[in-house]
Amino acid sequence: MYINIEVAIKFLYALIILNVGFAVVVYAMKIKKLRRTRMEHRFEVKIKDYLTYVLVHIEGKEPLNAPPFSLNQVEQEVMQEQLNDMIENFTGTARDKCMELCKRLGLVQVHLNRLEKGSYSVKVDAAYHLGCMRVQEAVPALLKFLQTHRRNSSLFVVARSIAKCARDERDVKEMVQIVLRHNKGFYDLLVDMIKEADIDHGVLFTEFIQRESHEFIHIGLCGLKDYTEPTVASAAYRLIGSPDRTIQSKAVEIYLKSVHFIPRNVVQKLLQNPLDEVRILTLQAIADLQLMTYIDVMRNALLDESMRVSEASAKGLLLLGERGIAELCEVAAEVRRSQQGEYLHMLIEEQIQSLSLQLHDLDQLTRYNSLVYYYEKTIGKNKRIYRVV
Amino acid sequence: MRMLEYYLQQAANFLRDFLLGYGYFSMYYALAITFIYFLIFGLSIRNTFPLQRGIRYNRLQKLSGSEHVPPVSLLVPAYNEELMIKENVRSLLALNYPEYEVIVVNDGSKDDTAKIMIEEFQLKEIKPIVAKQIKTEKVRGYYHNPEYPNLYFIDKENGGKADSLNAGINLSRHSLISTIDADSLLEKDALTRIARVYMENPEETVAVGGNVRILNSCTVEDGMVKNIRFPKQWWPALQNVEYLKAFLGGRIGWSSINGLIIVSGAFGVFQKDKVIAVGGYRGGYPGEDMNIVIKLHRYCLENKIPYQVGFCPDAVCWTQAPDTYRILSSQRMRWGRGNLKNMIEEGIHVVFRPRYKVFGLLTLPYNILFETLNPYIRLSGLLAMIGYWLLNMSDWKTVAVFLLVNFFSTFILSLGALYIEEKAFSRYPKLSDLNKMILYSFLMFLGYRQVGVLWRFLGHVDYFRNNNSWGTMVRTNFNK
Repeated sequence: MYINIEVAIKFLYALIILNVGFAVVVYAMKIKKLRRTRMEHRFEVKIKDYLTYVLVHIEGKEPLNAPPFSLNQVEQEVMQEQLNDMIENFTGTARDKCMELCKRLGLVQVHLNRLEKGSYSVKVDAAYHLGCMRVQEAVPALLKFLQTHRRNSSLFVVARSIAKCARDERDVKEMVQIVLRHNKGFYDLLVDMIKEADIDHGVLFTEFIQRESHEFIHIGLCGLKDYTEPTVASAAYRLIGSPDRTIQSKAVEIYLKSVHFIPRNVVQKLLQNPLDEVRILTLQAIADLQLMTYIDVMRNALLDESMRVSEASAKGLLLLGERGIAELCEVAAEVRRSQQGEYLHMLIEEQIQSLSLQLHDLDQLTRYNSLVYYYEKTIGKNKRIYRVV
Repeated sequence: MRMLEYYLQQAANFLRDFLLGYGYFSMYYALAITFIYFLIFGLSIRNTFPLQRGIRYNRLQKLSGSEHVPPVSLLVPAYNEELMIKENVRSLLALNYPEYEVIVVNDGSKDDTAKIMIEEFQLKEIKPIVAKQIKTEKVRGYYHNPEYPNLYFIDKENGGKADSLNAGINLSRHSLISTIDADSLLEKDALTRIARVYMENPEETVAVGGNVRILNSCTVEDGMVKNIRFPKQWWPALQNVEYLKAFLGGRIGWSSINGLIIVSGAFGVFQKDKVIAVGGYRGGYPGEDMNIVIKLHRYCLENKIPYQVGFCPDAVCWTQAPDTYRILSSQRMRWGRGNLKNMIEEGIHVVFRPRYKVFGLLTLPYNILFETLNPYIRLSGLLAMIGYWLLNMSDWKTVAVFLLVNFFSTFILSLGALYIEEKAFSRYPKLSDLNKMILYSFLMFLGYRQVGVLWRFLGHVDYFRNNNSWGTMVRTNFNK
C-alpha cells in the first residue's frame, strides 16, 4: 500500500500545533474571564456606596453626581450595565436622571463614536447600549445601520434600540418599514419592540390597521390585542370580513373586547363564521356583556357542530340568569339521546357539582338553585334535589 | 503440495489486494468524515458570534413578561417517574413564561406516578373536549385542579413515549408544543430563550431544539440548578464532554444550514399543526425524537413549505445522565436501534435526492454513512488492522502516525466545542472544571468511544432480533 508517511507526519505536526493553539486560546479565554469576574466583584463592592447615593437621590431635583473616582475599562462597562438596568426598570424622573448621568459620564459620546467608526460587532454593541440609554440623537445613525443589516438576531437588537430612542412616531414607522423588508411574520416581536417607544402606541396601531398593507394590519392587530377603546372597535370592525383568516379572527377578538353592545346583525354574521374560534369568542362576549336579548342565539349555538362552540354556549347560558339556564336544560332534554345531549347533561351535572361547593356565595347559590330546579323539571332523573335557602 | 502452496499464495495475494483496497476505502472514508466534521465545526464556530450577540443583547427578563410571547403547551411524558415527577412538575409550574400549560402524561406507569401526581396536586377528574387528531392508547382519565390552572394530568394505558406525546397533543390548547422529559429540569428562562428564536421567524420555524446539559453532581434546590459542577463520576463526566461536542460543536453548525436531523426529546419546541400534519409521533419504537424531525423535513420539502429547524443552545435543559455501565449501554443500544429504524423507515426515501436539498444531500448521507454504518466500518477496520499486521503490510510507525492523526483531528473538535462553551456560555465557573473537561475529552479515546461503537452495533443486533424493549432505566433523585 502506498503511503507517503512523510506527508502524514507533516500533517500530524500541523494538527498538533493547531491543537496546542486551540488549547492555549481556550485557557486564555477562561483565565481572562475569571480575572474579569474577580474585577467585577471587586468593583461591585467599591461602587456599593455610590449606588446607594444614586438610589437615594434618584427622585430628587438635583442632578446625580458622577462617581468620585475614575473608572477603568472593565469598571466603566460594569457601571454601564448597572445604569442600563436602572433605566430599564425606572420610569419618569428617575429614568431621565439616569440617562443624564450616562451623558455626564461620557458613555453616550463613547457609544455614538463606536456606532460611527467601529467594526460590525462594535456597532451592534454600541447600538444596544445607545438603545438602553434612550439616546435620541443616535436615531439617524441607527436607522442607517439598520438599512444595510442582514436578517439575523442583531437586526432586532438594532430595531429595538431605535424604538427605545425614537423621537416621535415617524422614527418608529421608518424602523418598521425597514424591518418589514425581511418580513417572516415576526409581528409580535415587532409590536413588543414598538411598545418600548415613548409614543402613543394605541394611535399608531389604530393607524396601522387602517392601512391597506396586510403586514401593517397584522402589526396593528397584534398591538391592539389588549385595547378596549371604542375608537379601536370601529377600526377593527372594518376587518372582521377580511379574507385573511388570521386578520379576521384577531379583528373579531379586538372588536368584541372593545364594544359594550353587539348589534344582532353582527352577532349573526359572527356566528356564521367557519372558524370555531370566532364563534366561541362571540358567545363568550354575549355572556360577558350579559346580553339577555341574545338568549335565542345562544340556544341555537348549543347545537353547533363543534363541541367547543356548544360548550361555550352552554357555559354562556349558565351566566345569563334563570332564562338562560332554563333554555340550556330544555335543549339538553330535547337532544338527550344524541352525543351532544349527553355532553350537555354531563356539563350540567358537573356544574351542579361545582356550584354545590360554592353555596356561601349568593350568586352561585341562586345559580345552583335555578340549575337544579330546571334540570329536575326538564330531565328529571327522580333523584331527590335539595334547594338551598 | 505445490498446488496447495499455489492456492495459499493466491489466497494471500487476494487478501493483500482486498486489504489494500479496503485501506484506500477507509482512508477516503476517514477523510470524508473528517472533512464533514471540520465543515460543521467551522459553521458552529462561525455562528457562535451572532449567537453570542443574540444572547447578550436580548433582555430576557422583559421578554418573559411580554404578552406577545407565544403561548406553549409543555408535554411531559412520564413512565415510572415517582421519584422525580413532583419536583419536576413543581419546577415546570414556576417557569418565567407568561402563558403556558403543563400536560403530564402518565404512560401506564407500574409505580405510583399517577397516585403521587393526583395526591400532590389534589387533582380531580374532568371531562374536557379532546381533539382526536392523533390516535392513541386508551386514556383512563383527565385530571385538573383549578388551583393549578395551567396543570393537566392524563392517565393512560401504556403505549410508549411517542403515544404519550400524542395524547398530550390531543389535549393541548396552544399552537406551540414543547416536549420535556420527566427526568429533566428546565432552566427558568429556557422557554423564553427558545420563544425568542421562534419569534424572529414564526412563519418558518417548525421546530427549535434546546441544549441538554448533564445534571449529575450539580446541586438542585426548589427545582432549580443552583450550583453547577462538572460530574464527579466517570460515566457522566465522559457523557458531559460528549454532549458538549455534539450540541455545541455539531447542532449549531447543522442548524445554520437547516440540516438538523434531531431535536432532543429532552427539550424541544414544535409547531403543533405541522406535527399533526405529519401524523404525530411514531409509536412503538425508540428514536421518536429523530423520527419526527425527519418527517417534518420531508413534509415541508415535499410540499414546498419554507421552513427552518432551529437550535437554541442557550435554552438549557438539565438531565440526569446514566451513571452505570448497565444503564448507559442500554440507553446507547436503544439509540442505535432507533437510529437504524429511522434510517430504514425514513432515511432511504430521502438520501441522495436533490429535492430534499441539504437534508437529503448532506445530513442523511452523513448520518447513514458515518453514524448508522459507523460500527461496521470500525469493526472491519479493526479486523483489517490485524490483517495488515499478519501479512506484514504495515509497520508500527505507520500505524502510530495514523492513530495520532486520528486522535488529534478528533481532539481538536473537542477543543472547538470547549471554545464555543467558553466564548458564548461559560457555564462551568472554575478553572478546574475546564481542566477536567480537557482531561475527559482525552480519556474518551481510551475505551469510551470504542465501547460506544460496540453498543451501537449491539443495538443493531437487537433491531434485527426484533428486541423492542426500552431497556434498563433506573431513576434517582436530582440531588443524589
